[in-house]
Amino acid sequence: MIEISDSPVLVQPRTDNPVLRMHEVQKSFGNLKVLDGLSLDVFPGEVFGFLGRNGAGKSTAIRLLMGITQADAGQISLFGSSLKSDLIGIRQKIGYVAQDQNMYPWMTPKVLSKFVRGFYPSWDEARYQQLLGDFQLPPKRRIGTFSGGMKAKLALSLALASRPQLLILDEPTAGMDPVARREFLDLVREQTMNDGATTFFSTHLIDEIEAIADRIAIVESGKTVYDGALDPLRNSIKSWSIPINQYVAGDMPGDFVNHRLKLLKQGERQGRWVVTLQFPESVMASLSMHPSEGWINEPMTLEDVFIAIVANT
Amino acid sequence: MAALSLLGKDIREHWMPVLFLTFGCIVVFLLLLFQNKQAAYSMSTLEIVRYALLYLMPVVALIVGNRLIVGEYLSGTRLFVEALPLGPNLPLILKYLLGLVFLSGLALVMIALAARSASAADEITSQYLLLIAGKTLVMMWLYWSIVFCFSLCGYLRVLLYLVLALTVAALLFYPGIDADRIPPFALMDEQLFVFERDIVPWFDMLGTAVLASVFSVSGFILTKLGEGSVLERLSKPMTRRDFVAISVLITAGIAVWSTVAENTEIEPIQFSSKQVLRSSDPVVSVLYLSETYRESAEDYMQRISDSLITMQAALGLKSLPDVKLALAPDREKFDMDYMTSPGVFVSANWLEHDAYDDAVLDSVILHGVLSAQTNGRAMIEPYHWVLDGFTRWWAEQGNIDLNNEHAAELLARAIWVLDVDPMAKELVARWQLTADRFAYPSAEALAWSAMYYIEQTQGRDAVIALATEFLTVPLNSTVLASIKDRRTPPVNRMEKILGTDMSTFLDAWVSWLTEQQTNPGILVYLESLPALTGNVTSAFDEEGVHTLSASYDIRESSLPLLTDLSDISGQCVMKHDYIGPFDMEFELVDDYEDVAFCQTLLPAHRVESFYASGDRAIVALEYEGGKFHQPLRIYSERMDIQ
Repeated sequence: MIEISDSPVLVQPRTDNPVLRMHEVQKSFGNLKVLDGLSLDVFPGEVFGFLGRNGAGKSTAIRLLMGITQADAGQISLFGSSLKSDLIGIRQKIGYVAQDQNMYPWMTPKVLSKFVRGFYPSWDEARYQQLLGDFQLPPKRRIGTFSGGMKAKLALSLALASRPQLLILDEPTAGMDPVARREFLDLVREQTMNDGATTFFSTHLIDEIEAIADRIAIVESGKTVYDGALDPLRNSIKSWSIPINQYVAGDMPGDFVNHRLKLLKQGERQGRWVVTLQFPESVMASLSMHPSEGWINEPMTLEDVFIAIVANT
Repeated sequence: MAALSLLGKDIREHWMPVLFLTFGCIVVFLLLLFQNKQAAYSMSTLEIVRYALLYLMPVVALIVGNRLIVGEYLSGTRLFVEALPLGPNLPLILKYLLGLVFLSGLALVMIALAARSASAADEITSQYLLLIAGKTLVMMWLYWSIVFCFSLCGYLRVLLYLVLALTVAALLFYPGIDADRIPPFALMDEQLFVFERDIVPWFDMLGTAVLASVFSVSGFILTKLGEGSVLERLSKPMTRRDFVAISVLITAGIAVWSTVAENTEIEPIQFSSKQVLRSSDPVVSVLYLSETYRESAEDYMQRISDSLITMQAALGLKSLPDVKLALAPDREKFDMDYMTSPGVFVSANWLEHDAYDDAVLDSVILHGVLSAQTNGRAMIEPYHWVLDGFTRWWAEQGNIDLNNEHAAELLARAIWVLDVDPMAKELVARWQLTADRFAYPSAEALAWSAMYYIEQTQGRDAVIALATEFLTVPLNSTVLASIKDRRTPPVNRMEKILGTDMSTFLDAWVSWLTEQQTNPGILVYLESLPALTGNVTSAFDEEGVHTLSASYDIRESSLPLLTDLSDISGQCVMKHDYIGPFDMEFELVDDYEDVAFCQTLLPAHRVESFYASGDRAIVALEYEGGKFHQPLRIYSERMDIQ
């Protein structure tokens, strides 16, 4: 039987100044601890994927970032300043697309722009109009009649029209069909590339992250369990299986498993015993991993990797 | 800039409903002003401001709160605003101020309208206006603060409003609390709110302002509780379970209230004096005040007890209400206080009564007793004439022999009524009009004559059958009881007992009465009556002084009435009083009366500066004295003083 290692998760340290920093942030609602020492850095120009299951604390972290609620402990800084020092100034540099589009249903996109522009000194009406055109949003139709996808595109248009330095997207594609979702993600990618703005993209959908993110953080139970690029994460985790009738308790796919970083998961699945292991990057690069007889390598999607990481936490 | 954007948004969102609301309020207010102009007792149109503050503005505040705050919180659009670059309190502060400014502005417009209208008849000084405006604005602040605070309580707000309404009701109606001394009730005092011109009610205004501050601050604190998480939980729409819970609470509240209401019936009047005669079957008490009057009280006690016992047996009544009679030696002999709940209480002076006067008093007591049998419904039913006629009939001849003199006087009175207004024969359809026009002595005589005619033509049993049919069945004050009571129309029930259709009966009765005109005993009474009709004029002179004047004319009549006024022994009296729009069956007391010699050459009565424009009054011209015991109403008119 292999014991689970105490080794820390993979972390990719960077030295430049982050646009957004959360350090050991804690937040509780009554007895419920939602964030338990969450730490992450987001650097200029990157598309940062904030990945986690429902209830992992993603939306709470974003509400803290927006200054809507206050942290119990830890530090939060945006653009090098603490939120308390200049909440309004910081928010003016942020474009925010919320999970639920709570825009006024009686407004039209045109009226909405009249309302919102007063809050942003850098509001670019021409860009807003252009985005409405690009997204094929009727400027004089009531927002209450828009579909979920149209509302999300409108919210993105609003967020981008303020020429933000940081774009925060909180599960913006929730409730969209796959086509609309893909369309939306392409637009985000395209627009942020054009602007060079930093993007903080929160989601629980792995394919969205794969499509868009340069770097990700996985949050589970209010803690960061992975902070780094996607490929190293994907490459660090491998899975093997053997028919259950050939499995001997405590058996492993080969001797190379002794170099593992962690045993993420093991158990029976569809008549086979499956073992998922995480290795340090150096080991993955140097070691040839030929499994013992009966064991075969199981192909892993990013989703499998995510589940393995989260389940282990 | 952010504040302007938020304001602009709220104005764009609500301008149309606000316009309708403002327009609606002003229309309602103008209607109230107009109605007040027509109504009695209207001293100042500024009184309407108070009515509007009590009944209209709370509703307006609720509507504004619902649109401005509840809508924003329940729809979740608050979350959109919350993420914009602005201070966390700004949106709510702006909404608070916007609501307050709108409501205050509307209230000030109403004051301006009322003041403009009031200035036609009253001196409206700036100090007076400021005082009214100050009190109004403080009240508006309180209303808005309550609505603001409760609107933030999401689905709990309905419950909170109910609790508030119950608390206010408890404060207003609980006997141990004098709510008129407590702000804000003291600020809205019926008299002081409008008519106090100089003294600023600082204490009441401050008390109300403190209450308003408490509600306002509570609202703002609520938004901060749990960093808004409490508010967010409350902002969810009401579920079916919430609706059911509130409905159950309301139903339970009503049930408890009705139970309590049952237990808080009016305490019957108790005689604590030693000078009281009491009998237990039937329960009759007579307060005689002094041993000097004991003998007359014993006589009266005996007479009314006998009358009640025999009537109970005749009508088959299971029980009778308690009867209490109080001697009031300082009263006029026909001036009676009459209460029917609980039991029957009559305060009268019978010391100078003759047999006719006693019959009048007996009739009043029996009226109360039988009215109680129908839970007071007979007074407003088509068989009211049966109640009036039977009680006098029983007092005159129920358990004693009919006095011929009484019969002659009553018949003469009935004949005179029909001579003045032949339509008065419609006992069912026009009874209330007849009672209003001729007053109760003549109306009662008319109904009695009908009963007497039934007795003469069909026997005593028919009269008792009629009374038993209509006056012995207690009617509950419910819709179902009314429907049940009307399954057979009262007229059909009368026709069944009388054995003929109503119009035939009425014609026969009138013919019989006409025949009685030649009866010498009756002629004596008719020949003593002046053939008069009256006319009343209301006018303002150039200086705005109002004069109410009345004159008499000789009217043509088929009866042998007096046309030579020098021969009459009685006097002409103009009685008048303020009336409300729904007052009926007026018993004009002697407080406002003008006595004059009956003459036709000049206006006989003239009253100056008594009424103001906008008042409503009833004016009656009566003939008093002569052979008749009670006055005869020659003429009466309800009038708007313009």
